[in-house]
Amino acid sequence: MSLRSHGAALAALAALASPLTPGACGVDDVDPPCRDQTCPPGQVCGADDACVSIAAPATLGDLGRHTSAALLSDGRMVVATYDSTHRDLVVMTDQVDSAATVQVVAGRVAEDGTIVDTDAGRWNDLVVDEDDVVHAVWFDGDGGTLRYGQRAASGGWTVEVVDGEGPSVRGTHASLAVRHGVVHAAYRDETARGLRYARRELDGTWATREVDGCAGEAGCPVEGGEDYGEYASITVIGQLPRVAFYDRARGDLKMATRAADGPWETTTLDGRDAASGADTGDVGRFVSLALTPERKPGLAYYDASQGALRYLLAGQAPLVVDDGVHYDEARGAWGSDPVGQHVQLRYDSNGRAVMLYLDAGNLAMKQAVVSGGQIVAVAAIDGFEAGGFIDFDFFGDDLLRGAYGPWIPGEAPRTRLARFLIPVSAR
Amino acid sequence: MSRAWTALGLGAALLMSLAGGCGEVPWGNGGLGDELPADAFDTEGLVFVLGAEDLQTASSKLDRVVSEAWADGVPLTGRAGVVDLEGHEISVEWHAMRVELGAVKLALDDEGITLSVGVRVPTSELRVEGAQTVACSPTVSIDDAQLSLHATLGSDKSGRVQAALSETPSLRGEELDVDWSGCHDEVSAPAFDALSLLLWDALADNAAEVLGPELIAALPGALGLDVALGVATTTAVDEIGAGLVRVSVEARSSSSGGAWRVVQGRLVVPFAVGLGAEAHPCVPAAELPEITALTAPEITPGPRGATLVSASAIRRGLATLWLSGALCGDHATAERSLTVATLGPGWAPLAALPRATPLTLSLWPRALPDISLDAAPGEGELLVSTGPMDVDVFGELDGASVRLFSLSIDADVAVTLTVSAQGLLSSQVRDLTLRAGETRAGLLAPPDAAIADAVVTPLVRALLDDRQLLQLPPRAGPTRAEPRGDYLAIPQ
Repeated sequence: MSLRSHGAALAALAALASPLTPGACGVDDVDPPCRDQTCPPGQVCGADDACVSIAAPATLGDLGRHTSAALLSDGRMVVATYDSTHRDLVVMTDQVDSAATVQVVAGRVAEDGTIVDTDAGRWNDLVVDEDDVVHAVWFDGDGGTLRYGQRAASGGWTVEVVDGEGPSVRGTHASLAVRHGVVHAAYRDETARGLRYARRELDGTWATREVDGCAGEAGCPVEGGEDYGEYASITVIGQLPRVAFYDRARGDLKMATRAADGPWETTTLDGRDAASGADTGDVGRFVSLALTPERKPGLAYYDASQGALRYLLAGQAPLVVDDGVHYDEARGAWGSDPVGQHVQLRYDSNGRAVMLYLDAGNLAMKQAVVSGGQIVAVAAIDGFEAGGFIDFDFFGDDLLRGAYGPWIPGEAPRTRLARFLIPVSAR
Repeated sequence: MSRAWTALGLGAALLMSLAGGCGEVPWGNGGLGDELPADAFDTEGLVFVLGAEDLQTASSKLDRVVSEAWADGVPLTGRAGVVDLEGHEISVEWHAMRVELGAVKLALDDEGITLSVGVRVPTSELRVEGAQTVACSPTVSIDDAQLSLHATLGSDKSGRVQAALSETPSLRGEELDVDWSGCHDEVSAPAFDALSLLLWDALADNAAEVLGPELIAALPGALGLDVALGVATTTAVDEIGAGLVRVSVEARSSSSGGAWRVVQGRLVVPFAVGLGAEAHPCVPAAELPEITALTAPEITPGPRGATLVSASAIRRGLATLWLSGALCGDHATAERSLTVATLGPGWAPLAALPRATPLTLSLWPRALPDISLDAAPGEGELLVSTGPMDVDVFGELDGASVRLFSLSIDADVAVTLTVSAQGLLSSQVRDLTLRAGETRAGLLAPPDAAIADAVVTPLVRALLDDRQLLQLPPRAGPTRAEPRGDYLAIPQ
């Protein structure tokens, strides 16, 4: 599509769909002519040689996949999600007195006056820092890169390429943490089938590195046989990052920790007997890492061998929170359903662990609460359709605000974006 | 999820087509455990029939035993004595006589098995002594002779087949020669013949003492009869619970004392097979089928034998696996690669899913399956009725395994079993009749009852077809297991 030929329409769309407004382009609106390269990030030349924001599509497509959510200090929610129809990264921000604003942050670029559709926004993660600044990372599918974006107070985004500009495809399974202005990201190198870590200093410079997946297993690494880094989940304790991830080659849940003096150490958290090294099951997919109020790391993850949800708090033994087992009256015997995929973990101010996850047999979303090492509630969430990519945060101590991507009933695999505000289950 | 198929006996392992996995039965040395034995036995649940070619194969295995143990020959040291007509004791002694061993041959008769070993002795010196003085030093040479050991088969208290020497060994051949020429002045000529015979018998005894224990001990294994086992093993361990199978395979000596018989010139060795189970919570309560009286297996003449498994053992084995939970959930299906493309056509919601979307099945049985042998000539089929079971069909969406739809099925499957030259026993589905019943929506609306059979049949066929069940010893060429009376015969 030629931008020039559709300039007026694009400008109108931009005004509707983006908080960004058309701005001056260059010193003079008439001479020299507007050039895309001279426009600010996220803008191209539109009608009348003026820079306009890259237009969002007239209608959004199927949202909900790769959804992440965070709350601003006033409780408003910011949601990043992937428009799988248009292959865009879409960010929605609640407004106090009106509908949420919608921004297409990535997924279309201008090249020589033409809007080019690109694939961007899968594997995104969104964080609101202590100063209410919104940060996000996502995978640029066309470039095979990890991108980072930061939203200015004006609403505009500055976007940087973090890693993957070479031949390697990097940036899937991205996870983001921001602490005192320093940005930490963990993500997967699809080419090397390994885990990487990136750190952005206060001056904006990035440093990236590979993270070793071996945790002292005999014969590790296996030449050409390693495959780890999926479901990376990062947090920061005392400015030192910790990354939980899944080692597919071994079916293990692992944690990489950076020591104060610089080196990283990787340990196996579950899936292998610590003494004998024997395989104890395929665990660690969908791992979600969160910190207790005392800043102890806790993890919720899926046990693929047992089809169960497991939970692990530092210093304690793994706990099977939900095994999906039920009595089948019709057969007169016991059965089970896989539960725990797409799990997300958060702690309230009292240290209660709340997990939201998929019941893939009964096609429901469930909530489990663990307090003091005891399972205090496991229940299906009324009115929630089955879906994935759930993310949420506490809205006060008794409410959960978040979003996820339920599959549209009867139209799967299509999804939609669902937002929710639900109470913490007390059962 | 644990699959301990390797601990199952043949009666159970034959039926793994419905339970998944390919196991090697641990029959190498009779994996006898301390667990409680199975409580119901089919006294001839497993019958080995060995023909002439099988004995030849066993001979080759014993050849290897000989060549590995006595590659440089056997040094013999011994003595034989005789009293001559005048009452004088004369002895013949040999020291470190090197005996070279040749090929091993096995022969069968009504009395047992004769094990012959080729023997050659290069010219060696003997010492003939009388009254404590060396009388003379004749020489001996043996070429193309046979040392014969006679063995019978029995069983020990654990049911293992054991061979034992039953007769005096002998050394016979055309070229057994003693040169007495230096002894004419010391020994009377008539004594030479007696001394020669004495010498051959003494050398046979001496050689048997050295060779016998190892060869006799190796005989059951070489014949493929070291199959006794008694194990209790979990077949399905999962989030619901665990199920356990007990398998006993043991030879039992008959009233006549032997664990074997000869029929039509073939060695027949029956084993009692016991199968029991501790139920997994995933199956409804059910009783294992009783062991039923069988007609004796039909033994047909021919150079090659067969392994016969009774229908009763197969039926009980399948029920045992079922009861222990081996068919529940994805225990029987996880190792199969199924995709949306495996499903039959005509179901609209399929179009929305990528053809390569991985599928997995969870099975939830409602009633015991049944199995029978089809005795139709040339058909060679096992007829398996799965019994009613609920099937959950899961597909991978967004990285998660999600239930797409469910339905109840009941299927009749005709299966043939083949054995490759490498010894791999596998199943092939010849015919499949599937009856789909109640359906339940998942992420997708289920197929209409009118087309459900057609949609799901390819899936079930893919699940059952070409399953690798058991690793048997390699054989001359591919063969097919066939019903023979009340037995399933697997050609050697």
